[in-house]
Amino acid sequence: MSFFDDASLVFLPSGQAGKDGKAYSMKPTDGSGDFTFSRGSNLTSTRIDSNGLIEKGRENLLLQSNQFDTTWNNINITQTSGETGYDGSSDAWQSSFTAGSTRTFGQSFSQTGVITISIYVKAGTHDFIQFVTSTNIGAYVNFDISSSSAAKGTEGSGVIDSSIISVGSDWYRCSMSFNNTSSGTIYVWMINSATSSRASNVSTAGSIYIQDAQLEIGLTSTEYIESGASSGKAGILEDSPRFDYSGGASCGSLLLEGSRTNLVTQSEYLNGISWNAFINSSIDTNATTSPEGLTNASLLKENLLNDTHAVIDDFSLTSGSTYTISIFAKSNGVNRNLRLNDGGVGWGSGFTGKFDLTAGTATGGDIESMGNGWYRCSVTGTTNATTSRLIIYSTLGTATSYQGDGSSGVFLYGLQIEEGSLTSYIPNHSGGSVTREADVNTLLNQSGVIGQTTGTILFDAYFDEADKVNFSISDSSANNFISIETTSSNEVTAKVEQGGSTQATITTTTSFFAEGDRLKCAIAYDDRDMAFYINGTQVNTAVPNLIPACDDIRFGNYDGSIKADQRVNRVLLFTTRISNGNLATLTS
Amino acid sequence: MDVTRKYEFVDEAKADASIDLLRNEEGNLTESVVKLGYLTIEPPVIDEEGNTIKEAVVSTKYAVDVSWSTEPLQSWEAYIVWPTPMGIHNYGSSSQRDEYAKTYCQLYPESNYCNPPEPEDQEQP
Repeated sequence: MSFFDDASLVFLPSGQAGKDGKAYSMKPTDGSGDFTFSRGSNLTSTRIDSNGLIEKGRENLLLQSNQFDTTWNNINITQTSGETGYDGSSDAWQSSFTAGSTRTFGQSFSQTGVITISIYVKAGTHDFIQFVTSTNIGAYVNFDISSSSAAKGTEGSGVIDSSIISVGSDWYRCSMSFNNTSSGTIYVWMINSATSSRASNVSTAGSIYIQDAQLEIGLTSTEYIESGASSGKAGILEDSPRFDYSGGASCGSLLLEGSRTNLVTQSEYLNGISWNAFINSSIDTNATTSPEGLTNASLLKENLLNDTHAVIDDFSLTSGSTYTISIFAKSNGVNRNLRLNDGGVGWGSGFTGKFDLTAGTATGGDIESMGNGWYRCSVTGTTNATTSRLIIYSTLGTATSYQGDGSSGVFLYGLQIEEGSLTSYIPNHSGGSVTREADVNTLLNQSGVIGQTTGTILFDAYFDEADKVNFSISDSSANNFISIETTSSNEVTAKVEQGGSTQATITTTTSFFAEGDRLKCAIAYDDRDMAFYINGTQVNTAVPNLIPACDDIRFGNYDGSIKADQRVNRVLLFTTRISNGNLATLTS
Repeated sequence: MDVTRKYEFVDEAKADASIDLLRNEEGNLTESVVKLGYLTIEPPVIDEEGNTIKEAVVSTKYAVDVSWSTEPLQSWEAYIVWPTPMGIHNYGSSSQRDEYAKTYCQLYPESNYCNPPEPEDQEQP
């Protein structure tokens, strides 16, 4: 038999078939089997892409990002379109001005937290510009954009980082990152020299060329996103299904997670955290390439003392709750490793995670390779107070006290504290906490693809969380459903409920799976017989006397209120009961 | 479209009583609720050896954020607060952020947030 031909529904996330709000099925081909996907969060959602890099939701917060005569506030500046751009197009603009004060163009914005402004520029008859904001008096930087001497100039104290990068043909992409605390305006200001003061006058008339402005959340500029009357968005959108390649997988899985909050106020701008203490160490921002593939990882840098090298902070947590703390780390220097410790403050059941960043091993915590020397390191603890401590050490081997060299340490990125077990990375640049909302993937009112009196379900997923409901077909009531669930004892259960009565339950042994295991589960059913297979082996059989009429499919319970963290590889439905021999084949 | 709304209750018990109204018959939440708790107003002061010199100052009110997928319950309206967008917590949603900011400026049109400084405010050396 051909499983594909015989199936009434074939859902294969490995094909990455989806768009914002939809996850496509391969069968039926008329679209009636396509799942409706929702999450609501774009800027706090990530996945591991097919290159093994973290992908985020991105947004260009500027409007009319390459239409400088609309929305932009041009003050004593004349904008002319149709100029040759850095990309060979005719989409660049010439900005012309006379001598005087306030020769500038800008746009208002309201995003608070860590943000980065960037624009492509080329000198015309004028060589010097300044990025300046009305919100942060120290957030300004000067640029010399002449082809012979392009460089950054004077920089204000409010700048986290800035850069000028050649993109060819005398064009440069200039950028400035800063921590913004209120709404205001960001300007490109014409100045006299690389050392001009903030918002100063220009003494000669001139012109520059500009193209593709972008204002985005985060520590560095990313690939340009065109915007119009509303902000431009790219990467993971609010209702994008996340096809994930964690662990170096060659095929993608559909990542489904519950709502989760990252309590760390700055997950990447680690210098922006109000650390209680820096112990013989400092933090360098944008020190190296992160697991995202951008230069936005920090360095926990040791000083020259023969002592401990660490940072300490106390976090406001809920007493009696279990939290997972995670961070991406990479060794910088000979035998430099990471330790996460509870400091003995605020934890009833604490942690000391020792992470060998060369061998990729851990004691007292978990470690996962991200490639390129990066590891995601995590520990779990249970609080007994409302203020609980975290100490992040750079260690030499496993020694916390050692002779520092003033430059080595541990590269860090993506600090996360979440209640519960580890989930995907939730970026946060806001200065507060952020929540990634739950992934919801449903197919409703499609009884035709579901076996009503006889049928088969194949559900193939990585089970990342226990004591949840992973998959169900139902009529959206608690009375009629067939489900695949797990218990707190890590059993897997196939359950048939009809008319409010349990018709059949088949359960594995306890501790059947560890979180993260791939389980290929199949239930074949009719009113005389039911069989449950996992990974090629029959769990058991049962006799359900009545089969519920179902028309809804959920990755969760009958109303979606109980969902598991999981990565789904395949779902196949049949309107026939497949033989036990074929169930073994299907789940092998 | 989901909307973010922010609330403050006298204490956690009062917050829980309102949150219980958002549960289905099996006790599971039907909306995305984040209990922010008693927000820190002033962080603790800690010395370089990790000793607490001064305890943190926290709010007397218990804060809760909700991302409503349905019309917000009327019974919650008495507890709504409008911190400057987006306050101390958000759901990482561009559309919810824009909706909250728009509503905030309708309610508080004279606020600094809704009236960003003009270029004339710039320092002129």
